[in-house]
Amino acid sequence: MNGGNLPELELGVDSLNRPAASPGDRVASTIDSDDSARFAAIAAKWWDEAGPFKPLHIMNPQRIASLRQRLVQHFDRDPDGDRPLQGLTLLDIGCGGGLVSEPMARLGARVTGIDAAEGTSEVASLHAATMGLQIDYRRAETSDLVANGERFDIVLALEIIEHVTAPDVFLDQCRALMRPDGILVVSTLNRSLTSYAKAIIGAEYILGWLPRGTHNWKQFVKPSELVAGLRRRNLETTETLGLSYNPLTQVWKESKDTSVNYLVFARLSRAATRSGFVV
Amino acid sequence: MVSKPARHAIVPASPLDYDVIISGAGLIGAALAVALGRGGLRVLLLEVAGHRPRPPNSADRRTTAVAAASRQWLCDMALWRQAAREGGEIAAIRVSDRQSRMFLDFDPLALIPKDQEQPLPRTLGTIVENHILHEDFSAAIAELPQQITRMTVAEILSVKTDSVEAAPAKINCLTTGAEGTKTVEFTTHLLIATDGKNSPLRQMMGIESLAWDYDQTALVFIVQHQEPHQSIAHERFLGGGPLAFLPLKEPNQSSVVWTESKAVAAELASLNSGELAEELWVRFGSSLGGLQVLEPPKQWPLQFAMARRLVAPRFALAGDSAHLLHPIAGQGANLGWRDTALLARLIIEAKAQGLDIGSTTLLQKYEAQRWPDLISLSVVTNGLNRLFLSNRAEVAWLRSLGLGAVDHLPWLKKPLMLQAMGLGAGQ
Repeated sequence: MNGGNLPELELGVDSLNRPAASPGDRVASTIDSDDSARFAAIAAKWWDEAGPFKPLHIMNPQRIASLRQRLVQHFDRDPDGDRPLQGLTLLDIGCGGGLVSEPMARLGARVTGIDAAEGTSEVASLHAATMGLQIDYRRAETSDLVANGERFDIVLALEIIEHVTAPDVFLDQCRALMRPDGILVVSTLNRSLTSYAKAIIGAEYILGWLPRGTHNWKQFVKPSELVAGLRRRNLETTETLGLSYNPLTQVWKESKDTSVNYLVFARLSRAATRSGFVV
Repeated sequence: MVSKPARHAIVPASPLDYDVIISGAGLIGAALAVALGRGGLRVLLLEVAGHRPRPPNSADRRTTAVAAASRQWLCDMALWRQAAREGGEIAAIRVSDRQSRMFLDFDPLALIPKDQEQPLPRTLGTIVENHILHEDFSAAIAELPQQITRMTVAEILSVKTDSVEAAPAKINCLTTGAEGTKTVEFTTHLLIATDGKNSPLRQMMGIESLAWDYDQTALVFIVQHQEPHQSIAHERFLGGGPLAFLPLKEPNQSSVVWTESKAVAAELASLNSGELAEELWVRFGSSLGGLQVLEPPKQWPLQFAMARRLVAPRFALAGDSAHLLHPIAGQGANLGWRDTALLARLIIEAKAQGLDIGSTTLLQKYEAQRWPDLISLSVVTNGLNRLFLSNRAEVAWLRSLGLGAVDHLPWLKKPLMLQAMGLGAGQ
């Protein structure tokens, strides 16, 4: 259909629940070089709200509000405080231009933002400097930080797992980067017929919101797969939250509908922390 | 890419000069500064010497009709101080026509159903002399010295914003001080123009405004009347335009806003106070007894203006810089405060989430939420003006029927009245 331009709807696979990866795999690269190059080409446009990242800018206020609320709850901070994340270390994986890193820094977190795409950390650093924010941006990937033995209170993997080559290895690395009482937030797109209709046909082909080829539907992840994948790594899911877009009001809202965009919040399961089993 | 992380040195961050810069410290800009300052933002409130409103002066008795909804917002912002004591309450509005003599009474008490949980405000609005509002707002600003910096500059030289990199807005000002004249540059997340109808900032940003003259002038002055006004405002539609009596604090004084064609207004303005009182008596009638004009009338040429856009990158318009309405509905300042109430709410919400308070996403939301109110009110006021100015017999008949009919149709009267109180649909 559509001159053969549309990607075929094949059955995707659960790439998160393969046999356990060997410990050495945890520092393997998961970067998809094609995806990385695609993002590098438009790095300068990250902060152009009318540019290629417009959909993310529209989604961002609700995404940040949902994040803030859960993070404040997890760390038992004052929800009305001016800088409720003060002092917490936060890793933003696939940070892009810093659409999430900057708000998190304003809320008080000590933010490290990593992105594998060339030129991205420069764009992000420059923008943070003009905004008067201190953020540690690096062109790096999760395996580099794991190799360095770095740990964070908050690990964010937002709209990134669908862009990596080995989601199971990536999840191992996310876990390795968490502090024992930390929180991991993964957001992605569901591998459902609705998401194929909305995120691929709708956003890329009809609305032209995203460049064609931005997403590969087969790499989308079902919430059940993600939760199972986390559980296999001793990560307990505390909440699965849908985000829904109303095209008429152009507003994103939290919902129970996880058929397209959703977030999963996870902490190390009690058994794992009690036994001191922290990788 | 398994290599040692290409670590960037942490850039030493220099905070922006201000979260928000507001140009224009009139009734709209000053109120916005306080709303934002109370929300924890660092605000620079700029005044340009020469454009600056005259210092509060109790001899200048110009008034503002503060609608119930605006009054509530000003109360919430702790801006309603002396005004609570010194303002004249409007308990009802009596509308009449020059020929039909039919009355339309707007009485808010009649609107409250017995079972209504949320009572309507006790009055439709309050008439306050502008100098009182200025004093109240200045006192509130002075209580927020950590948040609000007030500064007078000689001139604003240029404004620079950038949409692609979303860099902070920059504003260059000329200041004169002890060490002579110099240029100062301020950076901010968001620049807001509340600098009045000719808004120099709007022009610098290249935002066009659609404007026309009404060929009408409003004469404004205070009268003493023999009978007490009983907190009733009168709006009487005459051939040249509306004539309004707005009740002041003193039971025997009202502020008169009298709109006439430019030629007639010029003649009236040249009369002595005795002659003017006589002309007023002829048109208004005897319902308040004998009339005495207390001061020479001030003349306000009536104009309509509406900016084509309310926002640009890191830039927003509020108040008269965005829209100027015929004062027939008494909505000018109220409309401006509705702009600032929304803008302040959106900015404070964004700040709480750590979001960029000058983002295009936020500004577009502001614009989208203000358009319906602005468009409907400008259509209504232009339409009302035409309707009441017409001399054609059938229009006069419709008009008289209309006024009389509205009075007997609560379902039509209620929305009209809520609109006047600033509580209509869309708020």
